[in-house]
Amino acid sequence: MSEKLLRISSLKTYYFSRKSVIKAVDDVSLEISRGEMVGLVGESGSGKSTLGLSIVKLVPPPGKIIDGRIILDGKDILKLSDKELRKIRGKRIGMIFQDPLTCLDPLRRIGDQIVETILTHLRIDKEDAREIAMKTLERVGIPSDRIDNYPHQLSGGMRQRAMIAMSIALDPELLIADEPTTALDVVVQSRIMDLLEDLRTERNMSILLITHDLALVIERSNRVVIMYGGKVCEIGLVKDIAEDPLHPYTKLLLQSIPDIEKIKTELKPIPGSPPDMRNPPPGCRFWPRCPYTLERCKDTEPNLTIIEGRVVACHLYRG
Amino acid sequence: MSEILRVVRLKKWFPVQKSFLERLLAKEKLYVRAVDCVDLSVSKGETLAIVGESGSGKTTLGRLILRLIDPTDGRIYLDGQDITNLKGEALRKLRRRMQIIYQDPYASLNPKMTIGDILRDPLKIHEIVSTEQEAREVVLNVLERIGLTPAEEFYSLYPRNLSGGQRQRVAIARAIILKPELIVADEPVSMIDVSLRASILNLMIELKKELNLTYVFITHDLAVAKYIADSIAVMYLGKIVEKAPTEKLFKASMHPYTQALLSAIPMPKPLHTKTRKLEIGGEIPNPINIPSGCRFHPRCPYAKEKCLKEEPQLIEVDRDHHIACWLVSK
Repeated sequence: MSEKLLRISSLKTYYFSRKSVIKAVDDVSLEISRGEMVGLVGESGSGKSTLGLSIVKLVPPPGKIIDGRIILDGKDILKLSDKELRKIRGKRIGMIFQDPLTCLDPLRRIGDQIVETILTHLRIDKEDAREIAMKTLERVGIPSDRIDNYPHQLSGGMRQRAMIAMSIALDPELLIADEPTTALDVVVQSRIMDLLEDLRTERNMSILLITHDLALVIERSNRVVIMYGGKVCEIGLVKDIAEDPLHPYTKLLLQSIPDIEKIKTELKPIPGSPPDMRNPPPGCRFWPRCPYTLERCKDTEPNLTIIEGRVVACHLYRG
Repeated sequence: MSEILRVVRLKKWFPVQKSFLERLLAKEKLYVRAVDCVDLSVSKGETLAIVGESGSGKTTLGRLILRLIDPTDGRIYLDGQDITNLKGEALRKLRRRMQIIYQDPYASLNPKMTIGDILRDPLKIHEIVSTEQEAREVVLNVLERIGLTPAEEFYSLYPRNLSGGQRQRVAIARAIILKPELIVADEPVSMIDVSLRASILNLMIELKKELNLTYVFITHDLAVAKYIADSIAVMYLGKIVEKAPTEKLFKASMHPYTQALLSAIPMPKPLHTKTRKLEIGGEIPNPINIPSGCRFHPRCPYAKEKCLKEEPQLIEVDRDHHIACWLVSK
């Protein structure tokens, strides 16, 4: 599993408005190996979705990728032309978004939408493409006789499956799943996650799971990346993050999850609210909410450092 | 504890709209049986959670209790008084005693009104205050209480200036400002970031104690229900399939559907690959064609002959523990 498929280094994606600059993704580096599921966790506004969109270079204006490199299998995506990019999107990198209703065309049958994706990338005839579409639908658990249904004829869980079918029809190497189950209830969520897990193990697909649900990520992925205010604050193996979180934000996040196995313990909410990204606090972005703030946290930004095999950006862990 | 809410054999069947031709030819009318014969009782000061998947009818049940929609059949009692058929002035007076908190704080607050106006409106409608000055004071006090400080500043802000968590606080403030007895909270935290959920839940728990409130808390998340509720009713396709005090439900749930819901909750510890969490397959069926016998039988791993034919009734198997399943009842 050591072969790296994707390498993001010092990525900066900013949104520009007349009055201010929002540093949505600010100097973020991360790697994803083949066949690995990486969970990217953060609150709303932490920049996690912008990071996902940056990987396929689909950041909506006024957003712009300012700096950094995104290397997919040895090639820098940011240097590719639009034409070359179109060959990668959908073919080598698939994407699933939170709300399948806004991503599927309501006026077209789901089968046709999947066939279109296939024909954009492969030079095969329509019947063969339809064959692939049917197989893929069955693969994600939709009976193939539903191929001529419109999105409104499907339930929420099925729509999300149809979305997944569309993004995996061409066997991408990397799947970016941005809150794929947030709009669904727990039973459907569990089944969608089983499906992603199967894709990972059977096809050696790499998956970037973007969500605000730390419990889901810990349960299902291999590695966890925690983002706060546009920065990565901790990266670690699931086991380390769950049993011995280092960054105070990770610790507080873990404490705010209701645990059904424990007898009533009081949930400790994280004090304060997420930073105003137009005007983030100086120094460490988490310090106004952090219970362990030191003097230097308020003016010096901590860098991601390796401490005994763990990666964290926090002044508490420096000598 | 005395009973504040009682619901008896409550039904809501929505007629299915058909084309003119179909109406001419069809022999029988079709209905979406959203709530299909539900009995409930809630004590004063209790929090009852109603848990179920999307499409189980939990939101419809909440709206029926508040008399926001009219039931097809059945009775609703508030504090012993039959409120099923209240109309006009009597219904308007009733509204003051029961309030609702909606799921989506982006849709439930009028974007053109300031926070102050949003909270002042109910006071004016129910003529609780006589002067503007008094209204302002009440609103500022409530803002202070729910943690939107400085209250003076929030008073003149618009919903767009607030984060999701802050908006939901405003929605809670609007529900408590009339000092109601009963609040129906319909998925109040499911749109809120996990990190802020805990603070909203804690606020609701504190307010309940202070104001002696009773909550009917609708959610699809059993972990949230466990945190806030005294007892839990699990709904499936318009019916309650299991009902028990929270501790009992988590320790000794008996209905296969409850067990499936429990196993589906993500836990903050790594899952070993290749272990399947769920034993139930498929999705919730269409509430127009409800399966015969036990409604859960097509998805149930333990379904027997009897489950296909006869519908199990909700019976008490242990103290306060009710269940509708042929595996348990004889």
